[in-house]
Amino acid sequence: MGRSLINEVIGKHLLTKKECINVTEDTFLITFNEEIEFLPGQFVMVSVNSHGLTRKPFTIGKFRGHLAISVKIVGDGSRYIVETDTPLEIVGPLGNPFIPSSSNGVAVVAPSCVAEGIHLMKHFDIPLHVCSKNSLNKDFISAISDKKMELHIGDDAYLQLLTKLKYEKYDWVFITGSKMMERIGIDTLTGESRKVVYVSYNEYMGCGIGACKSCAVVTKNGIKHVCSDGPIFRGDEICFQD
Amino acid sequence: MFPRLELKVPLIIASGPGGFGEYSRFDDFPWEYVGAYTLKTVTYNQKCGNLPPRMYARDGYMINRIGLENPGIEQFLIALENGEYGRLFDKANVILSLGGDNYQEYIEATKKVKPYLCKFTAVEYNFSCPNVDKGGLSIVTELTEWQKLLQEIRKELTDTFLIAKLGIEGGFIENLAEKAVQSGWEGVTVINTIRGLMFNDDREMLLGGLSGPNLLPIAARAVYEVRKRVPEAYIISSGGVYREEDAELLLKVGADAVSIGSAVFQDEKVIARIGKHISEYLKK
Repeated sequence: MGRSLINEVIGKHLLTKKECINVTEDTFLITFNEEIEFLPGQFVMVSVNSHGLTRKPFTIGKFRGHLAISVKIVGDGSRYIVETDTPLEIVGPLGNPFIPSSSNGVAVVAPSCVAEGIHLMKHFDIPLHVCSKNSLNKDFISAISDKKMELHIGDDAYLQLLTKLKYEKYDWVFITGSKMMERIGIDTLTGESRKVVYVSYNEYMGCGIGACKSCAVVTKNGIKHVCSDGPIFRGDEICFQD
Repeated sequence: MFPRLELKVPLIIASGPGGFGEYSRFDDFPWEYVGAYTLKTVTYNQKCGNLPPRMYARDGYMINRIGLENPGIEQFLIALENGEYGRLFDKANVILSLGGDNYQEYIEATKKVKPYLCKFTAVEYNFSCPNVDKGGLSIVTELTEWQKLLQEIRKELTDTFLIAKLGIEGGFIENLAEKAVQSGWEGVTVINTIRGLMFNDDREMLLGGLSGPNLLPIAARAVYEVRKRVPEAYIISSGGVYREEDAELLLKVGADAVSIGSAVFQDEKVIARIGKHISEYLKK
């Protein structure tokens, strides 16, 4: 029924943008001048004022030492977050931190989650694979250049990466992106290769604080909630709905 | 003199979006403008809710199909006794919301809460959730049986301010409100979400209840019709309240109090704006 969060105090912060970097045609990496304390895997809810009926959830990371989120424009709210020059009010950090089973892992992220990916790469000192359906902005590529990071463009490249990871000696693979990307990753890697796959799950959120119960995910242990039980789940716990 | 809820501000947090008081986790939540806070509906048995996806919003509409996920009356009362909702009770008047799958479950839930009624300002019964197969909205379709249920609950809770939460489906809402008042109930909450269908960004179909700003004219008409038919009812208006003028409209057409629901998702500061506005409006 979800972890009770009722007595944990939630912070609010007003953040001003430092940089807004084009990652792909519709995805942006935004960094902020202000810092907040958070742990890997946690997320924030970003207010969009009258540009949407709910705050929007984004996992948080760091880029060039600054607090960062990645935003894919999917509607008026996310467009507002990318385009506005006014400070953004955020609620958080929210959710549970990512505590992997060992230090021997690898992260695979879509451009829409690249802020979190870069943070995990630095925090856990692990390789990072950025998998994009479309080409990445050249300025972004040069900005994020790191010997621990590889880029993979197109669906085939993602599938080839998963095949390669199947046979590499990592204990765990962290995947975050679209539901389809995560599901394919889980299906490919949790079988004979017996890797632990972690996914940072996305479901539409009303409140982000455990009140509304909208962000349900079906697991082998019953209904869980992304905001209070997640956002990170083991792939082999999730029961996908066809 | 008709019975009225005595609230410092006639602004009520609706059942559902406010959960079991999780918003009390915000240090800056505008409690001074909260007349009462309605808990998420508690049913006789635990409910795990519906399969995801459960929510989606766009263009002035929001759809949800939570399915009354709640711990059930036994677990709820244990948590209540253990002080789990203490922070909320310290801050606001609390309205209990009850539901059930059938006639007997409504009655049994009612009996279970009797020893705890002193903690609550009122008890609202959810007769209008569109997201459950049993109970909820369907309970009002058998009008004679439903009125018998209203009367039996009234007999159980003789001194409690009883509120029937009604939707616009399952019968004309003014007829339903009239039945409630004829059964000795003090108040009605109008309206609940309305059955709707939307597809989300992943092209998944959501059959759920619609809320959001676009419900306002529907809620206003419902309040107007209920006030005309049942002058003595205490009317809590619910549906589409996002701005100060929305709340004022509902008060003008007959509401005694205004309920704020999904608007808290956008920004809970809306409570202060609306609360301040309606306080000043009512002084005039």
